[in-house]
Amino acid sequence: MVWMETGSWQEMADGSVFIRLDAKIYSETAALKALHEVSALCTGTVSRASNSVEVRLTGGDSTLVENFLRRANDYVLREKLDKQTAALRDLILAHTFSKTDLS
Amino acid sequence: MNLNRTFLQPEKNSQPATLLPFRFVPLDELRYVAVNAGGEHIVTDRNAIESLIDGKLPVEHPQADDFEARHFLSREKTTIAMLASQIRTRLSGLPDFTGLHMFVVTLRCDHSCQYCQVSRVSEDRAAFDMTPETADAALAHVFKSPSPHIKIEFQGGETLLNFELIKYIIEKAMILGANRDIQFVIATNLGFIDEEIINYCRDKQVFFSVSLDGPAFLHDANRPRPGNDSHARVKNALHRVRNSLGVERVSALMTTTKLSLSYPKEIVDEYVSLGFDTIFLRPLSDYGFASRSRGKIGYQSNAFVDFFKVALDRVIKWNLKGTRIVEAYTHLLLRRILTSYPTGYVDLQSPSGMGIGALLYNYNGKVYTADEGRMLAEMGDDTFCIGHVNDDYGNLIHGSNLVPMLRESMVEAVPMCSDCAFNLYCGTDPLYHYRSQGDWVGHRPTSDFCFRNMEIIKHLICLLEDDRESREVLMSWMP
Repeated sequence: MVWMETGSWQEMADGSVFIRLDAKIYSETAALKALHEVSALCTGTVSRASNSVEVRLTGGDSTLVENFLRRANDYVLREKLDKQTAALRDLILAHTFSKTDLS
Repeated sequence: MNLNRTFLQPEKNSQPATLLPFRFVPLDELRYVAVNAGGEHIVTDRNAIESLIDGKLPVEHPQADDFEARHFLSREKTTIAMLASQIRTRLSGLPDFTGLHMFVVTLRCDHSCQYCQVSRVSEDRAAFDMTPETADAALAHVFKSPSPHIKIEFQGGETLLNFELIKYIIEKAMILGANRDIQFVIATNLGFIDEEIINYCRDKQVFFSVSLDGPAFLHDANRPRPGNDSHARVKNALHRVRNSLGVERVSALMTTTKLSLSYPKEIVDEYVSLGFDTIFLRPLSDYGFASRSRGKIGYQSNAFVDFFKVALDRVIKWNLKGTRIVEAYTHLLLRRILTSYPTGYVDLQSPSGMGIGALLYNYNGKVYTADEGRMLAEMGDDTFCIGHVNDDYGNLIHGSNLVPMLRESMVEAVPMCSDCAFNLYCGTDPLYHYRSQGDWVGHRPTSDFCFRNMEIIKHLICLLEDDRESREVLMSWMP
């Protein structure tokens, strides 16, 4: 099983999987992007509760939760990276187009 | 936002390093690949990426220096300008605007290929040939493009069935574009080549692009014609054309059908035996007749990727034995992975090369953003027609749906592509996604285009990392 930052998951009676993620770690956007990536394998929803981000996945096989969490963890890491480097990325792009008519 | 965030660094250098933007994706079960803002990559593991982002990468980490050398970290203010310069170099073809102009001089053809989208076995010249008046109007558009490098490619049907118009266009283009670098390419099966055509093309420095699908049994099955002798005719004509024009003036293109999938090595060997130094392993385009024949000649993308890997391995083996032959798609991707040089391949750009990289003037005067656009039109969908040769040039570009199509399909904004480490190496294909998924942005998790390119790029990075002999061959293809 892939490592999960903070949260829990369980299989529901209707065959779907319910995942509760700690909202201090996982943003809705990270969950939505991870869901988008696995959307060839399943359908799903993402909703925000008071302290958690709740995900329900329907369909897929036994690797679905692992697949989803692996991607969600990567998106959490990308958000950390973007937070630190977004201004630099903008600066690089501004430099890139500073010598063109597109700036 | 703290731009001066410090990083655990070797004590040899007191200047704190700044974390630079990059993207990352899993490479396989164990490894990740990270790509910086300028396109330099490093293969590593997730722990290293996490430590890097958290500022906790140990000094003694075996890749600590590599992250800095490849500009994931920097102590120099000039690094920003250098990364910008790399991006600007990658995009340096954009200001030139449209360089490739395709003229469909006729739809008539002696072949009845199952994957062909448009050709007609017909003698009716009036119905399926471009007229000189249409060619004149199209030429006016060609030279409104600011590009100093113009490639005029003649498409069919079988182009040589309307060679008089080809001559007419070449003569006019050489006058209208006297101050430009113009290259002429005739896409042909060479079936109607004769000494007059050969002599003319030799004198005018014309290139030939020939269809060759593999050994005779495969080529003739893919490309039926009366007499079932297409391969023999190509082989015979190839010899005559090369003798007169030189080997370098004839290249070949293959299309991969379901039958081709079983013969990757034989296809590569055929190209080697016929003396080609380049092979382009192209998947089937799912348009027009190819779409209607999908059950017979189509296949899943994973089957193509498997075919591609085996064929590429064969190409590498030939190189190791001393015969240089380059796989064109691999070459294109390696240029993007290993260098910042721009690549002009219109089907893999962001923004897409449709319209701004290539325009197609159909035999009937309609103008399309890409070759596949006219193929889709044969199925009754004219979405990628941006007007008529008699329209004003500005209206073709700005009065159509071209600009929204380009803007909305850029990988920098498409869901999943925007976070993908490979988005500097890859590109977008709005027409493919429109055709296969119903809109030009598309849905990457179910996109064959995305699957195919991700798999091939990962395969190439693994070859560079893990296979010394393959790496040496692949690196020898680079400028």
